[in-house]
Amino acid sequence: MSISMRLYRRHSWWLAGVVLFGLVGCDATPRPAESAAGAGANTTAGGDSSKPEHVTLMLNWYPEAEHGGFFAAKVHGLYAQAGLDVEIRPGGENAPVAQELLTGRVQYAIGNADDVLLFRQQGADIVALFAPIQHTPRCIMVRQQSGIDSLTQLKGLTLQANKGQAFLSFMESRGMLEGVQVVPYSGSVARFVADDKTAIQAYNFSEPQLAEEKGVPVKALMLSEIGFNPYASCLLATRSYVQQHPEQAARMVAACRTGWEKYLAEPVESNAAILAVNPERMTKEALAYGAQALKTLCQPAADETAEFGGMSLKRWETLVEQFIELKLVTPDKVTAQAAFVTVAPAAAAASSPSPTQP
Amino acid sequence: MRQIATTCLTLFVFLGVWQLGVWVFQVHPIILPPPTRVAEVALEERGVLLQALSNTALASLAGLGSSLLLGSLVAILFSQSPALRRAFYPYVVFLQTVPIVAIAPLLITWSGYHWRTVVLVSVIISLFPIVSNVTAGLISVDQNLRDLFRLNRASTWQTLTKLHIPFAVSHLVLGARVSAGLAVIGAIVGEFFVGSSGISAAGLGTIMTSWQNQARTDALIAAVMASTLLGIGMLGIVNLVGATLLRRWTVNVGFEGGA
Repeated sequence: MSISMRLYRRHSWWLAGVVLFGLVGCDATPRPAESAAGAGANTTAGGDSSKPEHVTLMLNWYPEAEHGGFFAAKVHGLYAQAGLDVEIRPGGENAPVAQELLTGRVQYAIGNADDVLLFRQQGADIVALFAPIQHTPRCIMVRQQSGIDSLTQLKGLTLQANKGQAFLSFMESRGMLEGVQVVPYSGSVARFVADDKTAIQAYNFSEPQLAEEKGVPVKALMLSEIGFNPYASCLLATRSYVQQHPEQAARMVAACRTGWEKYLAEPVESNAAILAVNPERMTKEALAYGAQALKTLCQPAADETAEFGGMSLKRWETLVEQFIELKLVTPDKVTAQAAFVTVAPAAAAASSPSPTQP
Repeated sequence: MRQIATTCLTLFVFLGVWQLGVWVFQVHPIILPPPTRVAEVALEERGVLLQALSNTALASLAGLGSSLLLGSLVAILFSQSPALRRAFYPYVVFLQTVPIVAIAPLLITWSGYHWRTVVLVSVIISLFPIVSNVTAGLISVDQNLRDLFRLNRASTWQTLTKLHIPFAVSHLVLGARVSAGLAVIGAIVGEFFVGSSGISAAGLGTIMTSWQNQARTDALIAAVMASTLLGIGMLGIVNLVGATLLRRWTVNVGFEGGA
């Protein structure tokens, strides 16, 4: 036997250990954001206007109308104007938003307020920066002919909804799921169309349109109406990233804000961009419908923050209380104060972000 | 004895490397929690985990049992008629190659959101090794022995029950070993799609989905460990039955690792 073979035989255990070490370490290390984003993701004082900073924005689902404003900012050159070269990465089922943010593979991501609280419960210091959709589009979709007009009347139906989601636990705690058979959400309206005893979880501007295109009139029972109202499609980042790049974060939020305002006014081009990256699951009509329906959802409530996409401590506190009641988070790990951050505009150039008080 | 010692040592080394790796590279628990954290969560959630484990075990056992029965019957048919074998064997192969994630929604459409659908998925995934192995066992009996039976004017039934089937039992056990693990996989995948109607009927697949939705990586890994244990347990049962009840016909079959 050759010398190298003999050496290998003797040390193969250590070799295996070292290889495993390397594998574990390589991909999972939370790299500092600077080195992870590739060329150009650095902040020079005052912003480098000659070369746009490259950042990646990861979506929490397949591209849909709920991401419209972010696409609008790209399509209408708003990111470029802010000195940012934003790559939008589509998500999908179980999109690993927290993991991607923590490892620095993406700098920004989209998530709902309830996702933020769950991430924070697991110790991930992720914060929300901007909340374009002020009222959750989450609803339960039933057939219009069933005559059901309230979430308390679902008894006897089969509800397609993924267990473990906060809104489901909320409904269960309020007794709305008694006599309801809960099965996993199949991701499409096919079964809903075929069976009249099926209700599905939905976003009120998405699935209803798809079902009506297939000839089934529907009614969307909104979760926000029974008091469960997390912000939706929030822009997320890790707190450390925001602290290291406060000025870039402020520019990003400003660009997204303008993008959303643009999207609600003129969605056509942005919807075309969304359709281009998601032709299998979306249609032109569904996206157009979605952009329309989002207008009401994006309007902040009168008594809350006046700024588009702003977040209020009171709303976050309500959500945290609900989550504590549902035993999804514990007060020692998750507080409303720490869950979101309002980045000051570039002109004010705050060195560390701070949450606003209502 | 040496086998168990080596296996335990490998396990400890693996756990040690895992724990050390997470600590050295500062891996966030939401990406990969250390084994100590997984053990902690497993202890906290032991009620849920044990209940889910027993539910999935039931579905897996039902799936494996049905596979053994159905597979053996099909194999006997195949062994008696070369024409049937040529005609239908490709469809049995189809069972192994079809991606279950594509078939599962169809199964739900036909069979509904019931426990039987979970068992059905389990059977579909674990059927092929049984049919394949038992058929091979039944048709590969020594020609001399077959001639002996013919010389003594044995009927087809007698030849089947006294020669072919006893000879094929060892092949059945070999096939069952493969199918044991597959039956567990089938039950869990079935649960991903079928879910559970009530908390009491939740299986490992259902709680895995639920915990993944809550971003609880540590609990998810604990559930994965539980399903691994279930697979090992099922394999153990098959080996045990093979070594005891069926000892007379499996006495020549070697077990891997030498027990």
